[in-house]
Order: sequence, then C-alpha cells, then structure tokens
Amino acid sequence: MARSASLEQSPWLPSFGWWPHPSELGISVILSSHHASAEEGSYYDIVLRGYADGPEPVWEHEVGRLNRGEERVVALDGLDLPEPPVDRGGIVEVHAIRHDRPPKANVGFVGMWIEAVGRAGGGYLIPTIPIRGQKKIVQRDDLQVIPGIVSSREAETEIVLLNPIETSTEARLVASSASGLVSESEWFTIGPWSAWRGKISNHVPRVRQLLAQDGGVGGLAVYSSHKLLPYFGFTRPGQPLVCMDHSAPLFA
Amino acid sequence: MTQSLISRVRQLGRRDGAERAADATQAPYVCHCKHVHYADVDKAIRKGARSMADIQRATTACTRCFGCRFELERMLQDAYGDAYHRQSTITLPDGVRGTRLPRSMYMPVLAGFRGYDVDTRVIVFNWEGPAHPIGFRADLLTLDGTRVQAIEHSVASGSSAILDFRGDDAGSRLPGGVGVVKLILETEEVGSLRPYFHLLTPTCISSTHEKKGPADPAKLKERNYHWIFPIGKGRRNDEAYFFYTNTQAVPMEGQRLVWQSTGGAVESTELPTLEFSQSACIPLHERFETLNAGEGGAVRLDPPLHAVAGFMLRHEPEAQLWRVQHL
Repeated sequence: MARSASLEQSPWLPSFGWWPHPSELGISVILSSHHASAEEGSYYDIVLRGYADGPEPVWEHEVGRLNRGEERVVALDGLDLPEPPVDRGGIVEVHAIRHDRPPKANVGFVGMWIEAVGRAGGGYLIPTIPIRGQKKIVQRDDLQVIPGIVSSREAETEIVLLNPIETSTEARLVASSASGLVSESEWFTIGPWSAWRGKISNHVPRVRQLLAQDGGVGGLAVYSSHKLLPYFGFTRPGQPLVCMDHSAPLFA
Repeated sequence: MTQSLISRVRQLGRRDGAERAADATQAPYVCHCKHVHYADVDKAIRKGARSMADIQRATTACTRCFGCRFELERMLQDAYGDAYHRQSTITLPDGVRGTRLPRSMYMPVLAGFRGYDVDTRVIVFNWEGPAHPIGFRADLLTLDGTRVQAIEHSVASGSSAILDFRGDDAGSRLPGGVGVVKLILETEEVGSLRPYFHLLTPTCISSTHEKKGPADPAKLKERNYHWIFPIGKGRRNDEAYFFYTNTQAVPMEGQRLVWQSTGGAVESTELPTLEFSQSACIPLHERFETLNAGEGGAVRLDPPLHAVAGFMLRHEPEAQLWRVQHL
C-alpha cells in the first residue's frame, strides 16, 4: 500500500480520479471546504499526487491548509508536471486529511471534485472517490455495472479502469443487449497504480452486432479480481470525449 | 423496443370528469402505485372527501410515491372549485401511515430545451438482480410537478429497459422542453437497478445516474455538508445550469445559491419556492457575472438543509456539447 493510502498516515484515506494526458483534457481539482463539511472549526491539509504505473507517486503537490469557508482550485496545467502515458493516462489522488476530528467510522475520506475541459471541447465533471473508507457497504466488490453503454457507427463507449492498489487486478467486460444476450471480453490485467483505457468495441467481441437491434444501446458489467474504480464516457465520430461518469456499485 | 413502448404510454393531463371516464380504458389508474382508479377517487369525492388526506384514507391513493398528488388535487379543485383549499404539506393519515415508501428516483429531461437539439434517454439495467422481471413506473413531470406522461414497464433479469424522451415527442408536453422523470420501482430491492440517463445531441452523449429521494420525504434532515457545483479554472463561454427537484413533502423555501470564486467574488441568488416533485433549472451563467471569468470556485446550495435531486449541466451551444453530473 502506498503511503498515501496507508492507515499509518491517517484514518482519513485519499480519493482518486483519472489523470488523463494533458494533450486531450485539462484538469482542475476543485477543493471546497463547503463540500467537505459545514461544521464549525473544520480544517484540512491537502496533498495532490499523480501515479503512472507504479506505487510511488510521480509528482506531488502540497496544497496546504484549507479552513472552513475556503475554496481552492488547482489547475494541473500550471504545475509543470511529468506526463502520464498518452494512451491511457494515470491516476490523480486527492488526499484531504481532516484535523479537527477523526472519522465517525474507523476510517473515512473527504471527496473533492475534478472538472476536465477538453482541448477540443467537451470534458466532464466528476467527484473523486475512494477505494477504501467509504460509508456505504457494497454488496460485492468484484462487480460493477454501467447501464447505457453505446456502441454503433454513431457513438462509442470508452471505459477507464483505475487500479489504485499495489496488486495487479484482473478484469473482464461483459456487454449485455437490452434483451439480455451477452458477449464477454477476455480477462485482462491492470497493473498496480495504473489506469486502463479502451473502447468497448475493441475488447468485447461483436458488441456492435450485439447491440444493433436496440439502437446500439445496452448495459455493461465490469468483473474484477479486486475492486476497481471504473468510469465511462462517450465519443461521436470526430468529436471529443464528453462525459466520464463512474459505474454503479451494487450496494448492500 | 422504443416504438412498442411508446404504444403503451398512457398520456395524462388536464381532463374533466367526463373525459376521464371516456379515457378509463386507456388510463384507468390515477394512482399507479396503489392501482387506484379515477372512478374510485370520484366516488370518494362524491361521498364527501374534501382533502388529500380524505382521499388517501378512503382510497390509499397517493400513499406511496406521491406522484399523483397534483392529479388528485386537480380532481378536488374540479369538484369544489374555490371551496377547495390546497395544503402545501402532505401528512399521511393514521390509517395509512405504516405504508413503506420506496425511494423515488429523479432525472432531468431535456427534450428540445430552449430550442436546442437535445433529447434524453433513460436506461434501467437489471444485471444479477432479482430473477423475476422488476416492474417500474416512470412519470414525466413538468417543472411545476404536473404529470404529463406515465410509462409502466418492466425489466427482466440480465436485460435493460430503454425509454426515449425526444424533443419532437416528450418535448411537446414539456413547457420549455425541460422536465423531470420520476421513476418508482415496484420493489425495495435496488441492486443494479440504478437508472442512468443520456443527454443526446448530434455531437455528443453525456450521462450520469439518477438521484434518489429521501427514505422519509416528510423528515427534514440537516446535512453536515453543502452540495456544490464546481467550476474549474480557465475562461470559458459555455452555459451552466443548476437543475434540482424538491424530493421532500415539505416546501423548499428560503434557499439560495452562492457563487464563491477563489479570487474572492461572492454572489448569491434566491431560489424559487418549490413544493414536492417540483423542479427548477437555474441558468447560473445568467445569474453570476463572474462565473466564467476563469478563476474557478464553486456554487453551493445554502443552507444545507433540504434534500433535493440535483444535477449540474454545462453546455457549449455552438458545438452542441453537454456535460452532466449529479450533485
């Protein structure tokens, strides 16, 4: 476990988001004390880190103290950072450690927000989410679903899978038509502290034919050997990536 | 699938008693959750029901998701005219207070919003959920909470249900081409039955999932955090809309949006009073002069008291690109 995600450092665990290559998307990390807590006297120390195919961060940016009522916005463009892999990007970590009190459970996290603006337009808004420390209990950690994938000549679904743990994770994509027919990808491996990115038509056999009778729309299940952080977005031919939402865990 | 679904759609709107009776075979239920017919409510009114509570007690209508509230109030208004006094808060009568409330799910519907070429699609995916098909109802509501369409559907295990709300169809029923779809599952069990929706234009598809109403819509609970609409750094020309639905059976009033930039600008705007299942779509770029100046910051809903189903929308009009995310 990297030091940032270690309980030895703090019971306030980090949250994560995708770190896309800066040639495609410009990232702002929005740090809002209002979003973190409305409690008087709350304050935080915040560090941002970037990971690319390894457990040690390739960059680290200390934001410093955030007191109640304050907001900061950190544009990664302005930090003179190394670049993540161009084909899949990396992982950005937002580690907000609250000092005025511990989490109500044994561990917790303070999530923040990322706004990504495409160099060619588009982009997305997404909250950062944890791999450990969330309050909600998931029913199972080896399955998450994405209702409403699209694969046709008019649009394609892009999947991003983040693996912010020290262990390689096996994953498989199972596409399902509206009427319940399925097609499965092969199992593939995502390295420790790495991002994986792919179009479903490149990984799920004959998915366009599978979804054709329903206007190219269906569902996707993401199976994995460890919990992953899956995201999905869409592209139209010749258009930029728009939207990058998170998948739906099956909560208990 | 869409065509067959559309053929099953029941259209509900302003009708007098005779028209409703004539429509009885097509739209028999005023309350789809409890399967209460229009005729049952008419009968209750004839027997003296004068309030929502009377109708709830007499028929059990409007005791589950409250989606038929406005239709029932319209029936009372038709029957009693000015003598009917609307109540802003619904309180369940003692006899039906034990009814379990499913958590309704809300999603914005853009169908020709502001004349833009944008449609909405809702997807319900039942993956490794219950083995039997799960029924649900989707109510299409205008911003003022009027139900203009009710779709009953089910989704089998391993399958998806897909509902399209297009500008040339649903848009004709929604003033301004904007509304909300309220979805009620027939089961408390949700699992993977978490609807997502798409905003569709010729150049993009943008998606996020629904937002659930509270387990107890009548209970106001103070949150210990604010919902925010984050604004990144960089000057831009796009539009920003804050879309929200009051999911509580208590009027949402005295709320405001506060824009706070990292450069120190603070602006606020008052929000309209919304009753249960009513929505608003606030153009932030028109309310806050410095929103797109490039500094970044966040717009927060203040005070952090009322539960809403909230969504943030960003739009690049020339490129027809929308970005949507839930609060």
